[in-house]
Amino acid sequence: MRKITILDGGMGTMLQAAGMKPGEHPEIYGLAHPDVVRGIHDAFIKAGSEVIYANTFGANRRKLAGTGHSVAEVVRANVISARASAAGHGARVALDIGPIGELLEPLGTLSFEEAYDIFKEMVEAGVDAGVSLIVIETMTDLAEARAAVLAAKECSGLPVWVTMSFEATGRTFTGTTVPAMALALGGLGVEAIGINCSLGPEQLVPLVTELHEWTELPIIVKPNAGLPDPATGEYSLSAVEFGKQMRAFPRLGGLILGGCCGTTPRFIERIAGMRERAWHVKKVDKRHGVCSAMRTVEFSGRQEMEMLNRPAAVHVIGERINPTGKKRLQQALIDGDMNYIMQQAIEQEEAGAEILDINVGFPGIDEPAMMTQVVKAVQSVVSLPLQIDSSNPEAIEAGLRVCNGRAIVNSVNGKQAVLDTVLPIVVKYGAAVIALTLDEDGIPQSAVRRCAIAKRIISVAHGYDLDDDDILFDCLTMAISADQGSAAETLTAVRAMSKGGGLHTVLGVSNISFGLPERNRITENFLIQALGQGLEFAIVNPNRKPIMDAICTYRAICGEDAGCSAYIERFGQDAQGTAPAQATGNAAIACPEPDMRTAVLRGLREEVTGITTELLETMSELDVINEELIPALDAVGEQYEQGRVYLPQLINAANAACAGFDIVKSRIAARGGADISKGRVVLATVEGDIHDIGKNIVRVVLENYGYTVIDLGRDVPVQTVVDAVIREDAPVVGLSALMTTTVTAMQRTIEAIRESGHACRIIVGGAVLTADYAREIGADYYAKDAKQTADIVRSVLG
Amino acid sequence: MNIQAKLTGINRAEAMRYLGYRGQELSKGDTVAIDRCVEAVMQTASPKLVWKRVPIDSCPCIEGEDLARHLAGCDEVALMAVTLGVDIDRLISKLGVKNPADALIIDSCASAAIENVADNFESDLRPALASKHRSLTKRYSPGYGDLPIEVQRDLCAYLDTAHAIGLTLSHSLMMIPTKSVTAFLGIRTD
Repeated sequence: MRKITILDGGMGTMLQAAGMKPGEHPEIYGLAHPDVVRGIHDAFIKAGSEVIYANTFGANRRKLAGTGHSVAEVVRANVISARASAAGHGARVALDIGPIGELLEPLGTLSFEEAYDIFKEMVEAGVDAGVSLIVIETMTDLAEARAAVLAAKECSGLPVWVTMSFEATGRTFTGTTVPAMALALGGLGVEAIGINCSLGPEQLVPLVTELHEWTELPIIVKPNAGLPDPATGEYSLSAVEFGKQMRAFPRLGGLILGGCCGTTPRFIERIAGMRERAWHVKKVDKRHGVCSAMRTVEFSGRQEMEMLNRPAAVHVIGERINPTGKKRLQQALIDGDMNYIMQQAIEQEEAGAEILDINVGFPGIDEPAMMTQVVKAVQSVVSLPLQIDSSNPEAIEAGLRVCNGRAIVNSVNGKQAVLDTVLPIVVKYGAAVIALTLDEDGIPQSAVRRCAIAKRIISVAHGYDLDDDDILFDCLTMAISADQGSAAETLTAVRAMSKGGGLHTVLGVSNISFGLPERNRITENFLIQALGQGLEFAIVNPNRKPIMDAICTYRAICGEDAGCSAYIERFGQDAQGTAPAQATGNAAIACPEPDMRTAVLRGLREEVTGITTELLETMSELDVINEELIPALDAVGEQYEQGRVYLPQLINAANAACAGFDIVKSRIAARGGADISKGRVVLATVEGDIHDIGKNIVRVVLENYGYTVIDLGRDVPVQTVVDAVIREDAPVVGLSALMTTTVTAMQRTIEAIRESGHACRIIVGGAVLTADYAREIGADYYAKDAKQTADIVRSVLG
Repeated sequence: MNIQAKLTGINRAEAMRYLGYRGQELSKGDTVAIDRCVEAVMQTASPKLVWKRVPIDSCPCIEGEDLARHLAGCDEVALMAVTLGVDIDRLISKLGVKNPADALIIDSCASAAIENVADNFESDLRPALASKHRSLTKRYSPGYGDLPIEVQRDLCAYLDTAHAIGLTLSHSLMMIPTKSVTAFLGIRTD
């Protein structure tokens, strides 16, 4: 039986009733009218509020900019009002932290680090002003909520409560789900979690029901007074009706209750009586998993495992973002080429990976910094949960810090020193962790010994307050080419831990075939056997079709794929010979053996590949480029200038030519030949601007003219551009800006490059620019489109 | 007056114009790509609307001469903000890496789509006003004429767009989600 805590109601509602105008800063209003704010707090306390939220919701430096008031001043004044009301009534005063008002990267331009800093300033001001807890509310972006929670946790010793605001769909405006909130924010060690604003109490019941399944924390429910009338803004519920509806929540773990928009002290009066008695909270089996903001991979529950004699579902962890043995990825890391890494992420997601392993360890790489950069880049294009893979604790922490969700750490093992170093980081960020069943004595031969190590890891982990469900045990796949007996031991260990012990198991499957020909055969067969023994997580290359075919088939046979629907979707079309057409370019056109020019013009990637391969039998690589591919691109460019092909066709043509260049490049690389790059070009969309379609088109076209493009991405800080120009000694820089407000950032970037003394030529482009404007801000060239950019680069670099 | 955000269709000619299309010959593959992108935008968009009707005297952010001229004779203003939501931005980012031609086409289709959402708001409001012998001017947005783009900040704060529909402004006054429109529409008696 549990007690209820009563919160307050809608501060904004009350301030507007007191005469505050729409668009006015409530916190500044509170500064000018402390008596009004005190009156509101007094009324809520009188109605029964035990915790009152100080009027500090928007008191962040971004919202206060230009008001002439500092964060510290505004927070202090409003907290003092709340404390004055609370004194003598036993009510607690919370620092109220709302959204900054700007969206974080990757959707917006505000960096995670800056958001953290903005919240840190508020938290420090609140602590100074004497609040007794910190409430973060109305968040719609998980990344922003994480930044706020981390700031509150790291800069105060106070309890931290967090609530987000959802739509009836069960998602926030930015797509965050209820389980993702529970896993990611619960993992950061908040003391209570929940939902505020959003909807009325009745509409929140399904969301709170779901939340209750994913968290053991007390749940906060602070709904609106029903739904607003769009015309009048009036809310639909009476205080009496609100009070009735709120009684649904204690059963669902909703033990901290209050109101948001439209709720006055009369509403709070109606729920205050609920604290008079103890409430029964319904018992549910807690669900576990890892997540991004939008996708959750649920771990098998113990009961399901016992009932089914297998994990409820098997999951695929994509292993491709790992530079070990991958030259192209190594080069991408050295060049900071995030585009290539993002392509790898998208490819694996589309192939069926559910979690992506991220490993950036490579000699000469600053691993923590690179981990941050790669995690951010990958998150900007795929919505999968991530697995932070490193042996460097700093890199692990760097990855976990910016990972927007609940991640897996890969890995710890039975060595005490490793456990003592890595587990505290795992706990701090609330991650799951892979534990390799090896220890100071190396890799044990027998399954029995591996299980013994697992047991020891569990007891150490319990000491760090981790749960069995937080750990994935890696039973260790060894190459059968080295020790043929090892496969059986691995499978025995999987069975013992999974089916025997109810633990989560994982294997890096492809190790099994190392050193043997036709590796897929061995890997696939071993994978199927391991799944049969109860393997829950398979770390594989999802781009290998036979591997994913095997997993899909296994899911159909074991019954996880209900009605074999995923199986039919994957293979049904093959059987009918109606595999979906390639979703690129103009491939649908039937065209018997076109020449290079036609194939490029029509964007036919496969044909370009075929023709290039054929030509390379009789021509040198350079001749294929200079006499075939580039003239074909020139011809398309000419037609584009004449208005005979339109922009998407130009891009498709460039993409098709890309297929030819890739073949030529890999041929040269294979025989260890010199780089055929015609020179390096740095590209960036300037600081503050996230429009990068134009810049991406320029990248594709330049790459296909044989230039090496260092694409710094969008919203690129001035100094990052300068550093790249100097590091790459780039003779040409291309800058893009789409808005009048960001052309100033372009000008600052140009000035900074000039000040650095580097003699590169600067090309600018973007919707609002003209040749005159470009000259005015100090650029060397203005390019109206990608074709013209390529012409200018060619005139500079040849 | 209860007006819902609605995306009813994408004007292909308008989307094609944004793409710089001037009657070039399109292959089957090109039209398939456009169909695919139109469909993707229709599926991905999550249109939302917030609006307020205010007397002209208490309407915020009427700056410069051009907007004042646009609102001449009006005694009320409808302030409006619409957005397609962040998933379209996500899709464009992903395609920018994977398939830049589709990214471009989706971007253009989404621009046409948000115009459609704004148009639908107008065409819902207009008859409701007409029945009371009131008429509505066209939309006028921050950045048009001499109306400074900085007005965007006050307009979004007034409508509380972040809270109401998830529309925020970046430091450089970019609307995020990027496929969003804000506008002033004058209301007057015929």
